[in-house]
Amino acid sequence: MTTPGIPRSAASATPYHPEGLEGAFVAWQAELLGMLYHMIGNAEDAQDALQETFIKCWRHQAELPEVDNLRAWVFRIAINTAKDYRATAWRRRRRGIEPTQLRLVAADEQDPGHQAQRQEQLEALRKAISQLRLEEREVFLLRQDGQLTYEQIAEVLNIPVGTVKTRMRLALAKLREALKQ
Amino acid sequence: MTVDPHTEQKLLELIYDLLPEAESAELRSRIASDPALAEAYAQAQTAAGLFAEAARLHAPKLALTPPTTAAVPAAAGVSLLPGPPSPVPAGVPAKAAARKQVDSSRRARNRWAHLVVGLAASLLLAISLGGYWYHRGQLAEIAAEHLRVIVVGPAVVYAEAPAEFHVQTTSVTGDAMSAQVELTLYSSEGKRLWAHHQKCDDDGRLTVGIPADVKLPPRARLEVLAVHRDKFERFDMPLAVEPARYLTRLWTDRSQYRTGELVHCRSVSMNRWWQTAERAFPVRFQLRDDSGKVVSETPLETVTTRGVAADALRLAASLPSGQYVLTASSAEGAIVPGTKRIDIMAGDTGSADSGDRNTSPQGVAAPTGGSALASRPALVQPHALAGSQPPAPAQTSSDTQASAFSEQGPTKAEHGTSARQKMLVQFFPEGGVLAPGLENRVYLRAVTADGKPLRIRGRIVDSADNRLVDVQTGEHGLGRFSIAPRVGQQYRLKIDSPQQPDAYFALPPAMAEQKAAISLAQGVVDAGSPLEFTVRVSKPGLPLVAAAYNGEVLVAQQPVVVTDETTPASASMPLPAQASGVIRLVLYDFSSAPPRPLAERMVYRRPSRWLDVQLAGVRKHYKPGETVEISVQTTNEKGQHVPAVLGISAVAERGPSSRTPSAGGSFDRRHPVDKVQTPLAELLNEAGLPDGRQLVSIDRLLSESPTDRDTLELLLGAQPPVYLKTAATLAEAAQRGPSQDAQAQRSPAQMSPMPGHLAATSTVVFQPPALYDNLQRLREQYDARLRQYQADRTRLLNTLTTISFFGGLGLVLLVAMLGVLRIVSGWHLWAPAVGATVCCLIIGAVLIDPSRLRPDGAGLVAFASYQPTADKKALQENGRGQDQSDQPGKAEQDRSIPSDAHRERGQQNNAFGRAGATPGLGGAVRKAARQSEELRRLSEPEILARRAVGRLSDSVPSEETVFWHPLLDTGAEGRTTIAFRLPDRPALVRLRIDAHAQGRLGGAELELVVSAPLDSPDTRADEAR
Repeated sequence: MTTPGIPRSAASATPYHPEGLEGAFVAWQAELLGMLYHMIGNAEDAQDALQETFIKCWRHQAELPEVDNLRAWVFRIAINTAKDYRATAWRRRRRGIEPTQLRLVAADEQDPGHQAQRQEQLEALRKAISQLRLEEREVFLLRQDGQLTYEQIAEVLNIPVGTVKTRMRLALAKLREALKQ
Repeated sequence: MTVDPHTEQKLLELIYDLLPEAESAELRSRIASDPALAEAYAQAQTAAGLFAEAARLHAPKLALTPPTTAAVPAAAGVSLLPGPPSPVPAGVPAKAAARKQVDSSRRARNRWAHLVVGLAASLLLAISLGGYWYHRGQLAEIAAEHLRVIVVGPAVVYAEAPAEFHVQTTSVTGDAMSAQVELTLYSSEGKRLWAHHQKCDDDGRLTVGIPADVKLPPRARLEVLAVHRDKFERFDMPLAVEPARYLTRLWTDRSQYRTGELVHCRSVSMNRWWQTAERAFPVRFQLRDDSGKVVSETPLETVTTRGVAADALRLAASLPSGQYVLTASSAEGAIVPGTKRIDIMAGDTGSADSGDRNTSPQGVAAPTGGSALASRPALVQPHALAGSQPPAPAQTSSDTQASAFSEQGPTKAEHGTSARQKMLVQFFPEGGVLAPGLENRVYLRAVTADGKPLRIRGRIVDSADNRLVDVQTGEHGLGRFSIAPRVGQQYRLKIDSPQQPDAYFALPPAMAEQKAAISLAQGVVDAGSPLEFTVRVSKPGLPLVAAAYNGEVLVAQQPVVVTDETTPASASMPLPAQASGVIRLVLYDFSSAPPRPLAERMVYRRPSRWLDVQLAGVRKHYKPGETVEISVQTTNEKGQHVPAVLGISAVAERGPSSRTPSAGGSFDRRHPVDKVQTPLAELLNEAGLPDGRQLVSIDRLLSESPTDRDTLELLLGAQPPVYLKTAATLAEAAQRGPSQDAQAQRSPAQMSPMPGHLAATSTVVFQPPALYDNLQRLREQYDARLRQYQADRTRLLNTLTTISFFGGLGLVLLVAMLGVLRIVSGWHLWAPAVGATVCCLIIGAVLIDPSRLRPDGAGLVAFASYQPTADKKALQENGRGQDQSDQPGKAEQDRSIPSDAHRERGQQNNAFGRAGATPGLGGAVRKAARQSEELRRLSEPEILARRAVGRLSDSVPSEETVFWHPLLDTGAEGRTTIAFRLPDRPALVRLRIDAHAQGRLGGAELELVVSAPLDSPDTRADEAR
């Protein structure tokens, strides 16, 4: 089933994106960039990581015929790239670009009052996501748009499905509390 | 309406497919039926949307640059891209592309900057290190131009005895240099007598011995030439040549006599190096009192036969009781006089049988014997000994003795009251003097009032009465302990056993000027073994030389330099094979000339050749008046029968207090009667505890293997230093000067180096080894050469120095400029630049001043050259004289003349020494030598002390000589038989046999018990057998 509120533009039942790898990255850019940002904590590094993820995928596209789910494959590479960036973050020590500067395109056009309230809620939620435990954050970011099943996430992270669900419940509970506050 | 948080969570889980199917279906049905729950579900969906929105990060379409197509391995049959990939996808912002280009350019600049700085640092380091090694090589060449030569050897060479010289060649910086060394011996007329050339080993060491068969004139000169590459050092060492010396051992039938009795004397004179008796000498026996005055002498001189001279002295009835010294000397200077102490009691006391006082014992009657020999020793006319006037009697008291002894060497502390047992405890620091701050071994001996060894147990305490170490003496009253004294602290021995309340004996004080302490690993060493010892110093870098004397002949010497005051230096000094018996090890300080003896120690080296005397036909018990017949066999160390010359005495104890046979005292009663006993036992038995003079006199005659190694070690340790005292006396006399001569003669006791009655026949010759070391002169030349090298710097060296010194600064400036210009910066640039700069600055500083590289190692200790009989005038005439700095010893050290009989020989030596000596200083030292000669004629404090404690009382048991044969040959088969009649009453008969052959010495001693048949069941058992 599809999850309400989750954009479906990037949904794909086949491992191959109709517009190729570049098209897939364009379609999933927001999710990938968001996940990398929340994993790395720096918007500029997240952009570099996205570029690197793309290059990795490009170089390993020979493996694609054996890939069942392109999205899962791309997101697994992105997760690993983010982990690499986290491990070498002390060497870069860049001053990060605020994500607000990057969020140039509004998701929805609302009235100004509603939009301001929504921005506040989003800020609070971004902060809450950043404060999630890393393993909870990974699961949430992979699952947030409903495009990957829990089984696929478990395969990506190489952990049991039950663990994935448990981490997802915990993440939801924390985010719900953050939203109420 | 709101729902509870649990339901909210469940609704979220429903949205995210986290609920099981059944629960999910139930919840959906509830949502459909419950409007409030439906509203909450709608809110949960909104929240999920927000979650998704928050998880995303919206940005303009990024320029995802794929790699070049050629690098992409396309999957077969699969097209991933709708068209050919573009390097820069459409829509890439210009800003991002520009940033990428800037990063790429920056990386390139960084790489180049790193490369340039790294190359510059490496090049600079290479140049600087090259300059350093070039400079170092130049200095090594300069150092190699200066050949340091150290030669140590005896200043006096004895004819028929080998003399070893130790040569060491190094550079002026201490690096070993294996130089070719040539030693040539010339006579005073310039005739070449002997030559030897040999290359030093890799350590630059060489030991060369002048063979014993070289015919030496009275004066000789040893020329030493050391050559290394094109450099050489040549110098001369004048040598005084002494004729072959024969050591004399004096033997009497017994050690205690009464006035009017005959003293049967026997002397054995042998070559002290080879222990042979091929020459004959006229020998005269004299009896001296404790002041050195001759109270009796044999009218004629006796010529030795196979080394043996025998005669008899009649003791005048007017002689007072006391201790006397019997001497055997010769008008010829070839023999070293022998001495022996005897006790003489006046008058006829108790029930002493005086009936045989004027009779001769069995065997060979006085004056000489030789019935077993074909020829009888000849008699010669009496010879007036030169300078035999009696010296002035000593004016000393017990108090002055104690103070004199406490100045240096052993201290003798006597303590006692009427309520306590009177005892005498003497301390002998190993080496002679306590060195402060260093671990010192101290020997002690304790005797009772009558001179018998005393077992004591006590403790050493300091001034605050703190217990430092426990002390005890053994069977022979000897013991040892170790202590690290401090200057100004008074250490005392408190006696715990026997009970002596408030009794203490003071140790000698630690002398602040004593900078070294010597410690022997073993006091008794086996034949062929080297002398092993350790030296501790409180002042590192002392130029020390250890010298070993055997029979007063310098047999080995070795420089010792201790560089660490916390770690003792271990030394192993090889000795010639012939060196055996008592060896005196002396440590000299060669920081000035003449060298100063610092420590002195005696050690016993077992001989490699000896005689075994085996007795057969001996019983334990005999009847009175029975004739004893004993078979004597002499074998060498391999058990082969060898001919030998024997001297035999049998003495029976008699008198009112004579000991019962069962209580007869012998040093070692653990051995069976037919077991050979050693002269050590004789020493301990007869004379109580011998002093150092006795050991020096008997010297190599202590040839038998000691039965008790530890006892001998203790005995040797408990000897006063002789050389130290002689040197101190000479130095003190020299400092007094001529104006103080009279005073010195008036109060000589305070400077007495040895007992007076022994000094009358003293043979101790204080002669340090001669040493040549040119380091002091070389250092000056080396410094001048370095200054010249610095002044004449080559262009290459100047260039290297400039690059080293300023290149590093330039590199630092370059890195600083890169940072200022914001081209590149960081620790990865600064670290190599600063490191290379520091290295270059150090090397540049070294290159600017060459003296900074000059090694000043601990091994570079300059010895003061010392050549006591240097005939400088003759050397300068020959054009071979060295710089004065090599000959700092201007005071000629005359050899002290051992006895009046040697005056003629001494005058010859003096004439030789006067030729090139500085008149004033030489005269002063000669005067000091004469003063020393006078000082030797002093009374021995110990004799007075013994008299004071009543050792020489009338209760001493008297003895009767029942057999005396001074010269008996065992024949070619090494066998002979002796027979004599025992006394007609119960007695303890002590039979002593002294034996010698060519190169071998030996002896035996046993006791025969003469008792009535019913007195002893053992006797009956013996007879039954």
